[in-house]
Amino acid sequence: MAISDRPGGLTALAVLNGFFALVSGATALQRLIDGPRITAYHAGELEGRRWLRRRIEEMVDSGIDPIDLQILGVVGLVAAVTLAISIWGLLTRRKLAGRWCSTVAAISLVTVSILAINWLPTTILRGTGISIVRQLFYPLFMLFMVQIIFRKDLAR
Amino acid sequence: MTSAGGGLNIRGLGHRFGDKMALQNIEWTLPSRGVVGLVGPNGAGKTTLFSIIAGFLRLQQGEVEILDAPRPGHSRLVGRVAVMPQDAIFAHDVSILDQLLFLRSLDGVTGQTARKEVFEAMQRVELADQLDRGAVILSHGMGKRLGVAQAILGSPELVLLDEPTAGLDPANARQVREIICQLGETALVVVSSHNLLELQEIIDQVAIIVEGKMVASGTVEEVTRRDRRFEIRLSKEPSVEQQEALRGCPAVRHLESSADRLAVDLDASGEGGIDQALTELLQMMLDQGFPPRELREGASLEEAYLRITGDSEANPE
Amino acid sequence: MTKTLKQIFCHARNSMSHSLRSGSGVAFIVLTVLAGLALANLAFAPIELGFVELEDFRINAAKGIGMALSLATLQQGDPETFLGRLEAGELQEMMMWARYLVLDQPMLLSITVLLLGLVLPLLLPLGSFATISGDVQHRSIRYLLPRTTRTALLLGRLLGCLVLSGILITGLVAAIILYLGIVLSLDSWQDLIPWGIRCLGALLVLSFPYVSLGILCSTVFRAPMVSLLASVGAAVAVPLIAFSARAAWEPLGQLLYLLPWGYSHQLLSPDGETVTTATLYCLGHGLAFTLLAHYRLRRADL
Repeated sequence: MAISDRPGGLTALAVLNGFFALVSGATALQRLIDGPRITAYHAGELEGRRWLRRRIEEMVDSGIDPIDLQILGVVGLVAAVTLAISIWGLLTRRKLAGRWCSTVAAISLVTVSILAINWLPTTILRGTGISIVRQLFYPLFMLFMVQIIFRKDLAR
Repeated sequence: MTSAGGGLNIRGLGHRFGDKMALQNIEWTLPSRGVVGLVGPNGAGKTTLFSIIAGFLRLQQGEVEILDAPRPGHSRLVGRVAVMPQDAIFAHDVSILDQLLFLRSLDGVTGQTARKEVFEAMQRVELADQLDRGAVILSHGMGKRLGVAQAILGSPELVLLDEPTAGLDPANARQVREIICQLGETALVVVSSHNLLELQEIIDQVAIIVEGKMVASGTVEEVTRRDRRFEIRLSKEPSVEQQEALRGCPAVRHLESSADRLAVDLDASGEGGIDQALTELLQMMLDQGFPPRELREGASLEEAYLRITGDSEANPE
Repeated sequence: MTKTLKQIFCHARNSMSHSLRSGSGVAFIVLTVLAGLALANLAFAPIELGFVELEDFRINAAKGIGMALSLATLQQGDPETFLGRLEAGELQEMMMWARYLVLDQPMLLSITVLLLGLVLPLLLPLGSFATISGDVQHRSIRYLLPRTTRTALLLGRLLGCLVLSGILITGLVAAIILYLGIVLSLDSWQDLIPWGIRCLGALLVLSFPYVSLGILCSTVFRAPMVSLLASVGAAVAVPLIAFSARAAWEPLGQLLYLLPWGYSHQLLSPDGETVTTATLYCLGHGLAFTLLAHYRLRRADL
């Protein structure tokens, strides 16, 4: 392993970004998959097991718009991809891949959270409001760290 | 020289690590200015002595007065003593610039003044281009130079440099020696080194420490017996008769022969002093038919060190 | 004196900026905030998601808090007879206290703060365990010692850790109060703000001994990992040992007072005198740890 003068905080941020990339990516993929399923349900063409049908029915009953779900999925995927790229960017201390990808990822995560508050019903699908605050904390913290604390370190 | 006049005054200093005595009954007094060398074999206690003076290790036995403070680590010494420890590394996660600025801020210097001082110090050791990096990526030699740079920040009155030129290339080593000489004009600088040839060029005083005991200390001349020792190179090895003839010369106190070299201690107590004694010796050599090819005054520090440490090992008491 | 004070503030500022740049500092900040918000989520979820009715939740919460307070004050006795004693009115004082927290004050805020009071002692040492031991391990402390006194170094870093912890706790409590006031709106601002300030004060006071404990372990052990294990281990082990040992011999339960576990709940007592006493105990505890750390650092070979 090569010796590096990268601050430990950048390494920690990279690890956390990896974790949140996986979480947001999985959630985004789930939403991208559920969107067409809801459309298929409306068209009477939904196929699948009983638990899947029941789940889609619950989502339809709670008034979820499949287009909203697709948009959330796309934005969530953007967040996941930029978070994944930012792992490399933070570890190698790049300006574009580290600082700006992290910034885009943070904005995407915040966007997903705010859109989820407005578009999704108050059920476990969205979570409680304070869990959204929890979801908002990390992107705002990451924004603060890459734009202020590690600004000079992410300059290459 | 007492601590009231500045400098260093050590009396009866002892230190123990477990059941091993690392230092025994050290007595050492230094003036407030100048460059002093501290030499000794590996494990002799040089770094331990430095650590006690710097306040890193607790004083177990004896007294150490530094400048006008009664003991190491006293609050009166804050900002007046600079140390370049042998094995310390700079903190991770923070750039060299930020760390040096922080050290200056502890001395009460901040802002542009601090930045300027830090930049100048790093320029002197030719590391100004590394200011924004972390210390962990520096090579061994660069790390040493960084240690010297932090030691010269501010205006310390006592500077302790533990092997400052070890691992440096000749050009950088010379630069560090120049810095040490300049520092010695306004502060007391104590330097430890294994490179006795280069140390001899810059120091005013020297102390030799062996197995925790200070076996010699004083000016370089006193320690190397420069005032009465001469080293002579001949064209060939002198015969036994020639050596006996020289030993018979009244001016010769002691003679050692090694191949084509002679080391002669002269008796300078006569009426004409050392000049008369030297004249007598040279006259005898000419009379005996083996004129000197080269005459050099004094033994080198290296030779004195080897002689003294050899004696100390042969006669431990 | 002025120079020493300035150096203390220098060290504090340096300690905070170093925490933000170090891996352990980032982990500490993220863990503390996420854990705090997760605890709040735990408290809010039953009401917010409509699992239980508000009044039922209040009654059950009062009982639960009464049980917890009895346990914390070592009055629980035999668990099998506990509920019976509760209903018979034997643990009157605890129930009055629980009702005070749940009925007289904003319930969700009280529950969240009580939960935070349980978890923060395990998290706070994460912000202070490497304060001294990190520099000792790498010997980078040797660059500092000629320029500062050991006292200023210790106090400055303690102050830095306390300020950072205080900022995190304040941010957490502020976020919770804002959420309760704006989103849930179960209580008025006139109730939330004064109680919120009192809860914040209680948590800030509680943080002092645990941050000091982390610093003490940092001066005792030269390896940061060992000091982390020691500080978190102590925070966990003391209540565990106290409750286990109490089963063998009642007075051994007093071991709980080795750390603020024994009296920290009194910081939210309805009785002002009890709160004052608990505050003084907390400050005294923190001061004791700090003095021990100072003694240890002054005598240490660094």
